[in-house]
Amino acid sequence: MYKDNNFERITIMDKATKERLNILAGVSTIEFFVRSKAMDMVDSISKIHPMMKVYFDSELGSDIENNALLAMSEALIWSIEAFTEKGPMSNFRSIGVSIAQTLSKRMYFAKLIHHANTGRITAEQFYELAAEYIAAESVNVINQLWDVVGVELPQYLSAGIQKVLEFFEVDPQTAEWIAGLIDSAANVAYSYVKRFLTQEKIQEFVYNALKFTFEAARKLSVLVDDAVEKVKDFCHKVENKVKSWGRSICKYFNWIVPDFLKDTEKTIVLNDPNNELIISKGTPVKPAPIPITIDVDKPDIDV
Amino acid sequence: MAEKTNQIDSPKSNDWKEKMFRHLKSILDGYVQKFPQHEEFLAFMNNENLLYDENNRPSEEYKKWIEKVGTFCRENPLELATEELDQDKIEVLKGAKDFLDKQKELMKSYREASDKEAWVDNELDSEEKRETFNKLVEESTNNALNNNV
Repeated sequence: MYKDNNFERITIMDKATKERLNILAGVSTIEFFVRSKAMDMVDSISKIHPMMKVYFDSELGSDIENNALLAMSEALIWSIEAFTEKGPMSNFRSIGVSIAQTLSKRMYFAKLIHHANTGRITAEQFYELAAEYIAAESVNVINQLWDVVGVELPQYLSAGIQKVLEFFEVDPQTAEWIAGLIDSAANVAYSYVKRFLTQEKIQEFVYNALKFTFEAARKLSVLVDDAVEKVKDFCHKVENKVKSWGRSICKYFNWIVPDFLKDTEKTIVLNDPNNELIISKGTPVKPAPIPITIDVDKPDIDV
Repeated sequence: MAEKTNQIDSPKSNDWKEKMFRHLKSILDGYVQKFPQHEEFLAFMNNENLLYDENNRPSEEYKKWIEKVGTFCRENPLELATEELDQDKIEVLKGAKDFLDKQKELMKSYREASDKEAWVDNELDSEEKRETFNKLVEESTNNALNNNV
């Protein structure tokens, strides 16, 4: 992309940066309009409790925001118990990050749109705030994901092995054999997730979304004081077009971490009741070593 | 995990939402009780006619309440009901709180930064991260520009 001339490089970078933030703002904004109907969300959540109404009506960046989002996070964690099984996965701290990320984005953008729709901020302000939020979020999420790969994933795998072995009361000799086997799988999982993070998969989602929404973002950027009608009209026009791939955008924004988990879970198969590694209680038998077959493109491990 | 997430769109989703909203309401009820003027506040919030002016913006009185509640939230951070959660869930909540705190801090520093590019470079503290970030945004932008969309 860059040329040798420094001046040209800086010019291109500045333009690219601006365009990038505009695009990302456009993506998130449109995604939000299409998928979640921000205003409906504001109405329905505001009815739950007066504090939530105050959250939406308070100044952007006010002191109430983190408290409201934390309360939502806790409520969500209680609800998620209905969907998650007890086991090693339950102590994976990144689930909390994913929850906070998804919630804060949705709540914050609902609030932004609410303020734009009621004329409390102009379209230009809306745009600036959205870009500011997304720039901060991108950096935050990248840092968090790196923590998952470099710090949490190994810890999680280690804790997972220990819990499984304790649960099945496996004798030390067999436990050592299993631990070694799973440790190999852990290394594969680690390298796979790391590879996944740095390669095309994330970009694919973004490319597909950006190709379409670039024009949308450009149009949004020229709106100034007549935000409400123009944004509404614009979003209505693009709504049909984005329907077909809207789900892909949402997957990118909301399901990156769950996808990691899914792939990792498939790799190590810790909770599978039909897993051949499970030893019956009280009758530990040392299984014969079986070679592991690994396909790096499909991270499943055949044992 | 993806399969579990998909259940949110299933007919069971109403149970899921109701359970969540009930819990949310109970958390906020408990929190508001600590607000010294909570009865007066709740009575005011029950009267929809007093909340907004003719332009659908918060009325002066409502603004005062928002200010009071905001001050209360700053001085009395929400204490989550962690005694009802096991250690695993507390860790998850800590993760959520760390993320939100960091996000707020980043937004503030981004807003104040005069050089946004330098800000991104500074926050992504390894070459590998910057490479991923730059690849993502630059190639995406190029793709959009080259396609003239």
